Amino acid sequence: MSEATAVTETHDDHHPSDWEYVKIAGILAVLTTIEVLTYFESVFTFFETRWILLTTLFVLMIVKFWLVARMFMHLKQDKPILSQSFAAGLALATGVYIVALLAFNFFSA
Amino acid sequence: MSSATATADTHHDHDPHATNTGISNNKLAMWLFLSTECLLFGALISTYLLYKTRGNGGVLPTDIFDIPFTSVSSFVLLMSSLTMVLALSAVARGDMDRGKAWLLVTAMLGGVFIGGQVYEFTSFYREGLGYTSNPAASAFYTLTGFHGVHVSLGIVMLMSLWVSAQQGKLTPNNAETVEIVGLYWHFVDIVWIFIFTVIYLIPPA
Repeated sequence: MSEATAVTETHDDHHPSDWEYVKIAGILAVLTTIEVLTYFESVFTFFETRWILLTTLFVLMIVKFWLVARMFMHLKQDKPILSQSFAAGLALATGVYIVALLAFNFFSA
Repeated sequence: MSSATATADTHHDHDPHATNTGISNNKLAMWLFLSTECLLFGALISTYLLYKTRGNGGVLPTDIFDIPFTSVSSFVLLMSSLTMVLALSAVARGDMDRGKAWLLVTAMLGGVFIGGQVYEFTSFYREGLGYTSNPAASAFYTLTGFHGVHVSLGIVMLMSLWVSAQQGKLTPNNAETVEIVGLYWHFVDIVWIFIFTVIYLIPPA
């Protein structure tokens, strides 16, 4: 076994194959297309209801975010401490800025 | 002996750079850095959300967004995440020619995104939306400009990797360097996923 192969096997045991990465990118492309279609009200008239539009966009955004972080950034395969480190910063930022927006009455505007 | 220690010890047999977390310090440092970047972009996004309707009677960014154009830019950046992960995969398995090609493609897609941003800023400026036109414009340019600077730094890092690979200094043994640059690149992508939805796609109430 070559040295290069040995390194790959110890480091990269459970990472997805290239084809799996392409499939994930395909899913991301489809989700992005749906997001963009919501902009054209004539395509889906039910997006004229604001809460349906907001819910749809946020769900699509979170799924895209999750796919990139889990699959492309390898959080799925890496040690949990990395997910926890990132989640801590993300949760802190979300909490701090939601409170900041609340303080400025952003959500009641 | 805890399982974490056992894992680290087992790993240590093969890797002289093993740490007690089982993760390289460089990789952990990059994740911690990205964690703090959430706070930076959170501040910039919140500021824009607070100021987005403050146009002082002038034009607002939301009035002149070109969603189809920005959608194409977003798609380009999203696909650059695919090429980045393909570059890492190729380098890790020792296919350096393909690795170099994907690194170059990733940098080029990043360049296309930046080109699109320059075009967007220029067209907004021509429509009367300067950096100091109103609070909404300042917040918009600061947010998207900061993101653009991050993409530009990513391109510099990618090109550095490509030059290293050309010189034969990048080998499968240091594929982790590509992985760390890749983490930064993917983070820039997920920040844009957020910006694209919250800033561009959600229409004003």
